[in-house]
Amino acid sequence: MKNLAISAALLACSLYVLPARAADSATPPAPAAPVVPGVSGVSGVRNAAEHQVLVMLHMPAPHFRPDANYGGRYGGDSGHAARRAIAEELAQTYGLIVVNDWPMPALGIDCYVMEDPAGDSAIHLAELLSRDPRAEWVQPMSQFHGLGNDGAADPLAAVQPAARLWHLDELHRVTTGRNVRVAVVDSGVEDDHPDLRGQVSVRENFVDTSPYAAEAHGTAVAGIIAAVAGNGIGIEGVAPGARLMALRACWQETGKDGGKDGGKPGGKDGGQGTSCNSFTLGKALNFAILHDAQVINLSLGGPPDRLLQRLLEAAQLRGIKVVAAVDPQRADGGFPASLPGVLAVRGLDAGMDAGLEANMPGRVVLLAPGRDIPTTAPGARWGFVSGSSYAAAHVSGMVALMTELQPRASLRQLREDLSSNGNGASTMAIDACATIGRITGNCPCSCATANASKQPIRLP
Amino acid sequence: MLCAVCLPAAAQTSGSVSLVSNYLFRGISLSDGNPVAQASVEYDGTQDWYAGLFASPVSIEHDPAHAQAIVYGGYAHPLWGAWSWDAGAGATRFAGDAADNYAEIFAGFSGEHLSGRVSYSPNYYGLDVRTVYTELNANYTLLEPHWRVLAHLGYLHVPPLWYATTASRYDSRVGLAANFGNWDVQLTWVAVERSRATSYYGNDPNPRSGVMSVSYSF
Repeated sequence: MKNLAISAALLACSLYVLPARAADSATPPAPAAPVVPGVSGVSGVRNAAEHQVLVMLHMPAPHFRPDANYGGRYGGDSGHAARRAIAEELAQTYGLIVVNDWPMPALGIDCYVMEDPAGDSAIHLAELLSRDPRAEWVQPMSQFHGLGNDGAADPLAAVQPAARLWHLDELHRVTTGRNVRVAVVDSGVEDDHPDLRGQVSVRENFVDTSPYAAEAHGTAVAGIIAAVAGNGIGIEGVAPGARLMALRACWQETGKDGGKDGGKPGGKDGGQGTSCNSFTLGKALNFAILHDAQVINLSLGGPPDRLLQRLLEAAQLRGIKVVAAVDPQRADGGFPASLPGVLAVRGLDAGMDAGLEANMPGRVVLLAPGRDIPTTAPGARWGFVSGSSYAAAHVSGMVALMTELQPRASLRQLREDLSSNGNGASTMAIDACATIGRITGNCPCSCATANASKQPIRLP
Repeated sequence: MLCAVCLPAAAQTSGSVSLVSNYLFRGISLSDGNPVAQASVEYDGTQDWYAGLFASPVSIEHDPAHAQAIVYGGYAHPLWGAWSWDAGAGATRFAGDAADNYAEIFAGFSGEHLSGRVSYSPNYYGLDVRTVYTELNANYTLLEPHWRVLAHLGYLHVPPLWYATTASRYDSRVGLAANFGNWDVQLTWVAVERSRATSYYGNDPNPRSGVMSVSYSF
């Protein structure tokens, strides 16, 4: 009973004394989680690791001790306290601060990290301290680096067809479509997607039956046009400097991934795709015109529509460039791709109905990458998409790049800059380097485009 | 501070002072159940040699001894990983009753969580009796970085002799330890086989005792 009372009294006293003591001690002596090295030193020196040294003190092997503390461990025995005192003395002698320590029984040493607040170089410090007999050895703190790819590059750029075919990296040194307003008239765009952050300046919903939602088709199109470049994630958009107007005039059917529909405009594959109607599209186009869009992307198709035709003609009168995807299922390429003033686009690899060109007389259908395109997907993800929708998105991006360089170019001028031949072919794969080369007068890429002539070539 | 500069490279002097609520040695109280203050000093040489001195007041019934000092020395060498072994000898001296003086040699091993030792004395507590004390100690970190659990199990082998007032016995200890900087606090529960430890050199042993200790290391 007496023992218990005394024990309790001692316990009470120590609990009172110890927390104050622990707060007093400036640095934790027991092995603690190491501070993040190099980012901010204890002394506030920038890039602290360059002024830090590792001082190794000899740590004798544990052995018999008759005092109350003996328990066969490295933490609380008196040896550790003594070494700590030696480290503090050493630090004081050379004007250093003890930052951290960690016993290393594997080598029989206690490793102390010391930092010079005066900013002396670690190598010099190590040399100086090495001569002191109290330390077993001293070395500077070294920095090591991972040997992966350059962190800033967009990892999926390697599989982007546009990156390869259009030499996006080289193009972007000349133009990024900076501040060009591109209206994406489509289903909902995930504007807080990590690869689209800051790219969407306007977001509107014109679908009365559902609230704005991030949807597959619109998000994919937006990503191809203007995904952030050089942020170390995902893809790089064709025109990463563009300002997107996300005008939701379409909706995703039945909650299935619209991207899998092969980009068929109008959702003809049994309710899994993206649908729009004359009214929602009309509202969106009206908005785009009133809010000074410079490019309108319509990755959709349907039957000829008077309202939409009138709106698109009004847009063209104001110098807005309209890009539309060709619907391979329709004989005339689908509306609005069939309209003369619209840049009709289909995928490079898409198998085409033989009769399609015949039904689009005098029209040049632009070809752009449209198969297995990596792009943004809702849920902060990325996925692969295929279809003329995405080829059109590429061309919208291309037009944005050109518009940065020539904001007031007419549609005619644009077509001339895009064309690489005058032989009247009805389809034309875009040579991005040559196109930009024609505008700036210098080929931006290391490609040898002998045909990058400065004379505009007349279209038939 | 001390002669840290005077000593050859890597030699270290360390020490500690402690306050214990009851000086229990191998399960038996040497302070008659009273709290005492203890101190120890130790020197760790460069070639794995070590030596030390420990002192404590004692209070033993029917025995005039009032203080105890242990002088010891040995050799400790790392094995692999966190394991090491050590061997040495110690002489225990009692002020006030030199008849109790005895010597002991020991050898043991130590790892991160476990340690053990065997100690042999040819004249335990001044009696013409050869004893062997075997012990196993364990410690485990409960909560980083301050809290640990401790456990100890020991067995003292005493050959049966008519004048030895004790028999072989087990002693055990289990408890909690907390370490804050240079301070170490331990609260442990000690148990000893009472029937076999009656009137061992005077003190009537308590089969189970709580012990509290506070130490400061330097």
